[in-house]
Parts: sequence; C-alpha cells; structure tokens
Amino acid sequence: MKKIDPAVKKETLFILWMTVIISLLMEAVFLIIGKWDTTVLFGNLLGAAAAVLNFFIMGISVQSALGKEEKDAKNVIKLSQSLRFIMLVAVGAIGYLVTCCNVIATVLPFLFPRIAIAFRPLFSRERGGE
Amino acid sequence: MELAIGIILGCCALGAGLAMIAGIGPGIGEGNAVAKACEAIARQPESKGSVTTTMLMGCAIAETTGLYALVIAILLMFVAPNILVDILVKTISSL
Repeated sequence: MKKIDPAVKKETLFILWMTVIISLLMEAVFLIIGKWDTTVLFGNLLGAAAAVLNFFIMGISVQSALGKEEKDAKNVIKLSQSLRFIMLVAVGAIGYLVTCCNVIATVLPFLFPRIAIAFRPLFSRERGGE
Repeated sequence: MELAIGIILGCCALGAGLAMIAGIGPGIGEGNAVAKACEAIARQPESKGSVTTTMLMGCAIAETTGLYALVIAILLMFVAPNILVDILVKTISSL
C-alpha cells in the first residue's frame, strides 16, 4: 500500500477538526430553533463522516494522480470525482431512508469542508514565513 | 388534487435532475487542474509539497459547486415534495 502524503494527512486533520466544530455549531442552531432530536445528531454524524471521508479520498486520488502522466492524472481525478459523488448521493439517500437520521442534518455537513477552507488562511502558520 | 400533486412531484424531480447537471463540471475542472499540477511538478520537482497542498484545497473548492447542486437535488427530491403537498392540502381545505 502506498504511503499517505503528509500534506494529505495534515489537511484531512484540519478538515476533520473544523467539521467537528461546525457540526457542534449546527447542533446548537437546531437546539435554539427547537428542532433538535436524536435524528439530527445521527444525521449530522453520518453526513460529517461522509464529508471528511470524501475529502480524504480526494486527497489520496490527488496524491496518486500527481505521480502520473497528464492524461492519466485527468482520468484518475474524473473517475474519483464521479465515484465520490455517487457515494455522497448514497449517503444522502441513506439519510432519508433510515428513520433515525434527519435528512437536512445529513446533507448540510457535505458543505462544511468548504467553510473550513474559507477559514484556512486564519490557521496557516506558513503565511508570514514565506 | 391528484393532478396538482403529480405536477408538484414532477417539477421537484425535474428540478433535481436539472440541478445535477452541475455535477458534471467539477470533475472536468479538477481533472484539468491536476493535469497542470503534474506538469508543474515535472518542471519543478522540489515544489511537490506546496503543489499538493494547493491542489487539495483547489480541488475541494472546485468540488463545492457540485456539492451545492447535490444538496439542492436531495432537498428537492426528499424534503420539498412533502412541504409543498402539505401547503397544497392546507390551501385546498381552507377554500
């Protein structure tokens, strides 16, 4: 098995922690509006796990694609994106079909990595050094 | 009543299908970006670490457009029909 690039590990950890923080905020919002129940919690767990897994698989795909020829790299990323998209559709469908999950709390965490990346410059230590 | 519900369900499904068209773009965009990153690394192998980090963030951002579409499509398929049908039933019963 190929070794995971340190950059992939570091960024995935960052996304994981930020997803946890934003998930807690989302739970707080559900509590405040009075719609919180255990389905929100389970849906949030499922969606957040899928979002972090999606980012990690993307990192592995990018890592493996960077060592290939241009055309192969393009195809690897296209295939990876399609498969990850199908995975997220399946997770969304599970969130709807399984009664112990709230569908909104399941699909909203898919967008959390994007919010985490928006806050990335605040946590970047290399910024001033370069 | 049944016709109205059918139109609501059909429009929701149509909207979800149209939203999923946006899922095509990110794959092509990410593919092009990674191909160029390969070219950059081949030219300057010492910059692999920073290129990988930038690529990861870039790919995640590029993918967000597809995820917006996915979230909208899932909400249109699973959440919106119930709400819209409830509104329709309430409106008809109040007449």
